[in-house]
Amino acid sequence: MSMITKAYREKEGFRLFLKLLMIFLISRLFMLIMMIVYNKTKGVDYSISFLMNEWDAKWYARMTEKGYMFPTDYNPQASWAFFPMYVLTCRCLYLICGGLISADWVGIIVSNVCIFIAAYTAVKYVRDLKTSKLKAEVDGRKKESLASLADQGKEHEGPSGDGNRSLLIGLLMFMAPYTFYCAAMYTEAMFIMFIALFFRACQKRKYLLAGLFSALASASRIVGCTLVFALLVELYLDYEERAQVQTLAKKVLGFVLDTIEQPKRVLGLMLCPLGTFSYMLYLYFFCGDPWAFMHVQIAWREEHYFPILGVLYKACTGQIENRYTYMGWFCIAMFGIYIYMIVRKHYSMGIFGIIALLIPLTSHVMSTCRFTVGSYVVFVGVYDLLDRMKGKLLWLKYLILAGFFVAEAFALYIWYNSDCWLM
Amino acid sequence: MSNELKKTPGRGHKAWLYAVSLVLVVFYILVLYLGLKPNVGIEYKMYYISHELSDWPGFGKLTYSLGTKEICTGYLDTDGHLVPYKVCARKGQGWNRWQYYGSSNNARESSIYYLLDEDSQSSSYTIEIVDYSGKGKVELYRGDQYLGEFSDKGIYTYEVGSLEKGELIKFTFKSDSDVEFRIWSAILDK
Repeated sequence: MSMITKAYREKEGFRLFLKLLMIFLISRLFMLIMMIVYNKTKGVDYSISFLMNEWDAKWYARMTEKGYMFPTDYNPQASWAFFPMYVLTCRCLYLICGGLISADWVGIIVSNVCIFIAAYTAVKYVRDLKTSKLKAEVDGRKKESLASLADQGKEHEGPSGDGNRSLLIGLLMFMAPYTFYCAAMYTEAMFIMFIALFFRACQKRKYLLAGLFSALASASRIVGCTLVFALLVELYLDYEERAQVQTLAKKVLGFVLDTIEQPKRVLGLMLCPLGTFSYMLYLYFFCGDPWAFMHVQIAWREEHYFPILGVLYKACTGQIENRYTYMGWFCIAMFGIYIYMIVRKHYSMGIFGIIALLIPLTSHVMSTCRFTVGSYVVFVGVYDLLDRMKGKLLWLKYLILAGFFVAEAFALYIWYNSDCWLM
Repeated sequence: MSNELKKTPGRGHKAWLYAVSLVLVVFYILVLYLGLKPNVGIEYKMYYISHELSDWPGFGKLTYSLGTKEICTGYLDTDGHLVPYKVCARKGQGWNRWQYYGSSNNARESSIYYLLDEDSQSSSYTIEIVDYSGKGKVELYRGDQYLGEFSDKGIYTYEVGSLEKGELIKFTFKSDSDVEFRIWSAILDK
């Protein structure tokens, strides 16, 4: 016990871990309370694993038990629509446990561990982002005393210097609307984890490692491949800091040459889509079609719209279904947040967020709420927005957080009720 | 100064990193090349890739034995139970998704595909139309060959001619713009 106390006093990372763990446990307790509320109001007695694992979770559970399978004669939907990283992890854990833990619970455990790692990484990311901004201010405003800037740092870090305000992003990742997907047997938590680790590696300028996390993300969802654009932006910003030239053309040329000269960066970039391409090779041997994950989408939806603009227009003007009207406007709001992020100089994240949203919009608005939350960067954007609400705007920050809490409670309830609005 | 620049890899190390990058590029090109030539069956190709089929027949199930009567519904009834008869899961484009009581057209052209497992010198195609609305008519074609027409509900038989084993036959129903019809069964016979 004394060792823990000592570690708590001395190790900032450990303090952060415990505080985040508390928020995490409270959020999961809240999910359990909502389960009781649901069971009482509906007069049923379902378990949390049953209620949490809806829709696609059933596919993941089946794949955890049996691996990838061919479609039946009766149903063209095939399991290879789902990328393998999450499935592989769950299946490994399931086999290691010898089937003692059900596939449902294996999925829940993996997702919760992943989202916790992701949140821990995110807290450290935003904390260091603040610190680096302060350093930049020191560089930029030499006239100002270092002492006053240090005070600002303390204000941010909290009385004990733990990055308490940074914990807000952890709270968002555990309890903001639609975050219940990260507690269910869905790939979102793992995907978020790899993206968070990717941006953390970029922040530390470990671009080879970033490439590796991107490769893992691209084995979790196709969108993971597009982290290559985020990496390019990060590399460019890194180069720009050092570049002596002024004109854009020279900068771009210099950037290309500079990147090629550094083999770790080249390899980092090359690694980005490795997960997806490895899966494609597997699919070639499994079913003969490397693009099977894309071709199988026809079994889920038959509607064809003009990509992105056509999809958004049809959805936002209520020409499909009510839930898709909502999702269409939700997407517009998300684009707003991503643009805000770019304005706030979160360039790579903003660009990745936009691309990650544009890809599903090439076919439909279905599931875009889940995809948006699952692309991680929106948490950083919302965090940035909320973190700036100080002084007279503090009430608005708490109002928004309360709104998020109510929305998540409502979403959880209708998720337990298998509502198609959350598909 | 970035961490990487501080720790510049040695020449040998650099060569390795470039070599791995090159291997990855070759690997990606190879996978993309494989993607151009998928090694799949005709059902997979026509349903998932070219979308010529609107029904998923199942692997190897587009093959048809002459004389088999198939009912043009889905595999499941309205209660979600498997139907007890042979289903005509070989329809192309131009049919409504919901087909519990037979398949109705939703376009000017609606098609049904057959892949034969034997030869036949002389064959006929019999269809049962259970619902028909509109003043126009529906013409039936085998490929480009005109077989006949119908303009009301009923059972119709058309001479198809000779058929070859392994031949993919496409029957197309070309309907006038005001016509809606519902087909219940189809049988291709010697």
